[in-house]
Amino acid sequence: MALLEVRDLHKRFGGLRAVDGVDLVVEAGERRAVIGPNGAGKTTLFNLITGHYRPDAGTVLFDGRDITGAPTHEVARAGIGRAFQITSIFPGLTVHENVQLGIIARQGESRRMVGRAEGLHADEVTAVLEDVGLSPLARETAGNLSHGDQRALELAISVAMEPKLLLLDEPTAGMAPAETRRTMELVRRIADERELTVLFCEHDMEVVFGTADRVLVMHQGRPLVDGTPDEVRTHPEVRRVYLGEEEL
Amino acid sequence: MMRRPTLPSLAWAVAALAALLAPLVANERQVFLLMSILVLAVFSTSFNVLLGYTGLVSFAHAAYYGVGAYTVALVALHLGWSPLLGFVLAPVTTALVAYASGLIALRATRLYFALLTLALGQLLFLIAFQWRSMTRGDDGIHGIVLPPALASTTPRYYFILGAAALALTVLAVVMRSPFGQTLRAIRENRERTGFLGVKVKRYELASFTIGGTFAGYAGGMYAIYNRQAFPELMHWTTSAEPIFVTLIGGLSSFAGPTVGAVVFGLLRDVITRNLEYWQAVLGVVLLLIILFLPGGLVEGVKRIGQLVLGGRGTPPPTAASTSSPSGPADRDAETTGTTGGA
Repeated sequence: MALLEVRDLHKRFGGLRAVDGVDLVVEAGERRAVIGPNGAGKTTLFNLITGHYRPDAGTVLFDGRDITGAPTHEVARAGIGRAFQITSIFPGLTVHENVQLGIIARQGESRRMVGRAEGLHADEVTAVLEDVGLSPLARETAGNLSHGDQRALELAISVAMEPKLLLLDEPTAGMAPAETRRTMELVRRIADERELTVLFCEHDMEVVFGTADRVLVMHQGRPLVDGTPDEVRTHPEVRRVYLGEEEL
Repeated sequence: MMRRPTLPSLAWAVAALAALLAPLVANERQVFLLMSILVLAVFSTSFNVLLGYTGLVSFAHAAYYGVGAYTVALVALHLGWSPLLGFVLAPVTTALVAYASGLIALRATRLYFALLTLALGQLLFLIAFQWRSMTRGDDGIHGIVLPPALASTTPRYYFILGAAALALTVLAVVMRSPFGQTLRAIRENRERTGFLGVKVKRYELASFTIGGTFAGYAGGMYAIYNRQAFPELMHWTTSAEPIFVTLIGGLSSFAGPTVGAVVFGLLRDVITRNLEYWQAVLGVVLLLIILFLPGGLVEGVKRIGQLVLGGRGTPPPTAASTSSPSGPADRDAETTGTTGGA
């Protein structure tokens, strides 16, 4: 059974059809990518899946449950972890505390008013930080980290929640080629080790082809092609609307 | 892990000892000053649950303070109950009022939330001000009769001290719990906290209710030590007091509002006895602190302490190694080297 099933999703903003009839199926264990030029509707699609926006029409089924338009915290509890296009961490807390929050929330301990938070799940936090290569910075204030390290931290927070599906919105946005490569290696390795299902969007084609099992190409809010990286790479429509400007 | 006494716990112990011994050396006026400082410390710490921990700015806080004070005064006036019973009831009635008004105020966020709290607080103020048959209006209720055991100053002082210690302990436990940590997460990044699966509004309401409850508790303390309640206590301008106090002491630490209350209380006492323009001096002090010590006095003392002790005395030794200048700086250099054009 598919882990995530998006059926005929629509969202308009005024006259703009931001997402216009998108279908998307993500199988458990799959690494799935959504690509398209800027303004193709990738981020809107993600925001519809995670309940940030309510779709005008269509359904989002996750793990057999209808989560269409459900509030963010319910989507998260259902098992969707998300990393944002614009880095979203807890800047004033330490790196350690950032990851710890993910674990506390997962364990349903957020409402506990007695007992110290300090030191809670320390071993697991250390393990996650080691995984993403941030353990030397554990005591550092998260806001002081470099851009690349903050992205890694954001990934670590989401991983700590042990989501069934990890949603990454342009994980390499604003990164130089070397950093992009390192980040995607990290994503692949974490996904393998923790057997995560990953859905991510990108506009950088190379990033996608190296990582994704299947790719959905979007153009002006509509799905254009859905297939393996090779199928997408050679598809004439894709070459016309998307790859035209980039020589492959 | 081995627990050594940390600097903050040592400071708390010294402060507690000083507070316990104070009546031996202080005169009556000074003991009253200390009681006002203790009340202000609880009031401001309860406010900092909202401001410092959750990132909520509320102008209704004085209204809850007043509800607490009026609970003591009204049950004494109309029902003839002991003010001590009123003191026990004060946080209960305030919790209900804070929860109900929080439900309304939290329909909005940020500025509109602050404006709603202003409106709700003023509404509560007006009830106290206008409902003469119940509250005696702006005359206020004065001369609450305390039980004989609390009639003289010294036992009353120890009662207030005990009440403050209890409130601060409870708040400290709650704020360092996973719940308190979740509130800090909301302060840092509301949206991200939602994506952790936390229902943010519910936690904000809990924070608002806890803060309000302890403001009412502080109001109850006020009604006991000063034996009165009057509408001005509830006016929105009274809400500014814990803001000043918290800014002076520092909103990023639990001790900040208490340190701020001591400094604010002593300063106000010294200045108003010698000078007419207390507000002007307060303004200058706040300006200097915000400009030169944005973290407040506690943060300033911490920084000085780190300079003097060379980083020892703060968390475990591993912290010193990562926060040494070479660690993160090296990493920055490494990553900025590759980020270049981005």
